[in-house]
Amino acid sequence: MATLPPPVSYEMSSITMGREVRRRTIWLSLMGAFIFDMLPWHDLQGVPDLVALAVLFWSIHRPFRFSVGSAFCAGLLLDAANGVLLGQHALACSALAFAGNELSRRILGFGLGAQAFHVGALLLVGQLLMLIVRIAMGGTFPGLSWFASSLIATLFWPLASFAYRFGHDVGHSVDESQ
Amino acid sequence: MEARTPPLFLRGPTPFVRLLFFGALSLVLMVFDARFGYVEPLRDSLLWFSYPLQRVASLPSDIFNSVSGFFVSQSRLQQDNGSLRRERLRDAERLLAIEALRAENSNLRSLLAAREPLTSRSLVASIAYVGRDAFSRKVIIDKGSQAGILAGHPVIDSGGVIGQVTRVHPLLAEVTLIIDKDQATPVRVLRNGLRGVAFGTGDGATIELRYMAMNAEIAVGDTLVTSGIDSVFPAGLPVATVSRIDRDATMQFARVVCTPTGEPGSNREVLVVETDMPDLAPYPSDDSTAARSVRPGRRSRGR
Repeated sequence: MATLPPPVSYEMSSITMGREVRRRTIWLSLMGAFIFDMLPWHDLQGVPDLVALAVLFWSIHRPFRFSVGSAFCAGLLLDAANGVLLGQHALACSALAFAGNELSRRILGFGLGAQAFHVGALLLVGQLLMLIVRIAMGGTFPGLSWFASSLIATLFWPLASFAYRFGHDVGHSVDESQ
Repeated sequence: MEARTPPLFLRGPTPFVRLLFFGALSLVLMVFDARFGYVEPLRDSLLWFSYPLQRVASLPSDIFNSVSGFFVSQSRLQQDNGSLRRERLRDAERLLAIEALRAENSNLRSLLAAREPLTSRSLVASIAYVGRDAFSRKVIIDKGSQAGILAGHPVIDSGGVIGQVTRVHPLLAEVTLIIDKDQATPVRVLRNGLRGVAFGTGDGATIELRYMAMNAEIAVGDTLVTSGIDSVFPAGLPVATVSRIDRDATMQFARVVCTPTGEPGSNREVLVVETDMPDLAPYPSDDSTAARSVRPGRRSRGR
C-alpha cells in the first residue's frame, strides 16, 4: 500500500478536483453488474452481488453524483428481476448508498486494504438488513454461508478501484493531449 | 446560478433525508407486496427494463450450449438415439394401455354421470434464469402470458411435478418450486389414497408432508401423486417418494420427509401443463357470514 498517493491528495483529486465521471459510465457499470448478477449461477453459494458493490463504489467515489435515489432504483430493478419481495434490495441499496455517501471522505482516506475492510462490513450490514426483512416476512435463515457473497464481493473492491483509476488516468491524458 | 452557488450546496436534500424517504418507500412497497399484492403492475413494468439485460446475461450459456451441441460426437448421438428408441418402444406400450384405460374410464364416468376430469395441454419452456434469493426456491421460465401461461399452472419435468407458476409476465413466468418452504402441493399416497399436503422443507432438496397423524398409514418408499382435488393440478402426476418417517411420540404429527421424483431446479427444459381451470365458485363477496366457509378450488398457494 506504500505506492498509493497520500490520503489527502487522493481524496481531493478524486472527489472535488477530479474530472467529473460521466453519468453514462456510472449507469454502464451498474448495467454490467446487473448482467453479472443475472448470469445463470443456479444454486451456487457465495456469488457476489456486484450491483450492491457498484452502488457502494459510486456512492463512495462520487457522493455528489450517485446518491440514495439512484441506488433505490437499481435495487428495485434487482427485486423485480429476481421475483423477490419488491423493496428488499431497494432498501439494502438505499442504506448502502447512504452509508457510502456519509463515509465517503473517511473511507477514501484509507489504503485499498482498509477500504476493502470497510466495504466488506457495509455489505454485510446490507445483507443483514435483507435478512431481517425476510425473517420478519416469515422466511427461514438460509445459513451462514449466505454471508459469504459479501466477503467475496469485497475481493472485487481493489479490482474496481484499479479499473476506476486506470480509466480516470486515461481520461486525463486524453484531455491533456487535446 | 451554478457559478454563484458553492458546490457543497448543490446536493439537494441531505443523504439522511433521502435515506428516510427511500427507506420508507421500500418498506411501504414491501408491505404492499407481501400483504396486498398491489405492486404487480410496477413489477411488470420493471421487468420490461430488466428483460433485455437478462437476455444479454443468458447469451454466454446459450452460445455455449449451441456450440457444444454442434461438436457432439457421432457415437454419442447414435448412443442417445438408441436409448431414446428403446424408451419410445417401452413408452408406446404403456401409452396403448393408458389409451385403453382412458376410454374405459370415460365410459364408466359417463355411466356414473360424473364430471370429466381436468383436460390439459402442455407447453415446453426452458428455464431462463434462477432467482437470486436464498430465502425461496424460484426459477424464471422463458414463456409467459403471450404463450398462454396463467398463474397457477403446474410445471413438470420428466420425473414428475416440480412446481407451479406463481407470477406471469408477457414474456416470462415465475415458477415456485415444490421445494420452496411456502409452496403447497396437494398429494395422495398412490398405494392407499391417503391425502395430504406437501410443503418444501427449505433445505432445497426435500419436501415434507405436514399434518400427518402419528398413526397414518404411510411407509418409506411410498409414492406420492397429485390428488387433483384442488382442481389445479391434474390428478395422478408423480410428486415424490417418501424417504424418511419420524414418529416421535412427543410430537403431535409424524414427520414425513419425501424426495421429489422430478429434479426441481436442475434441468433446463420443463413442461408447463395448461389445465382448463373449471369454473370456480365466485370469490366470496363482502357478505362474509355465509360465504366465508366455502371457497372451493382456490389456488393452493396461501394467498
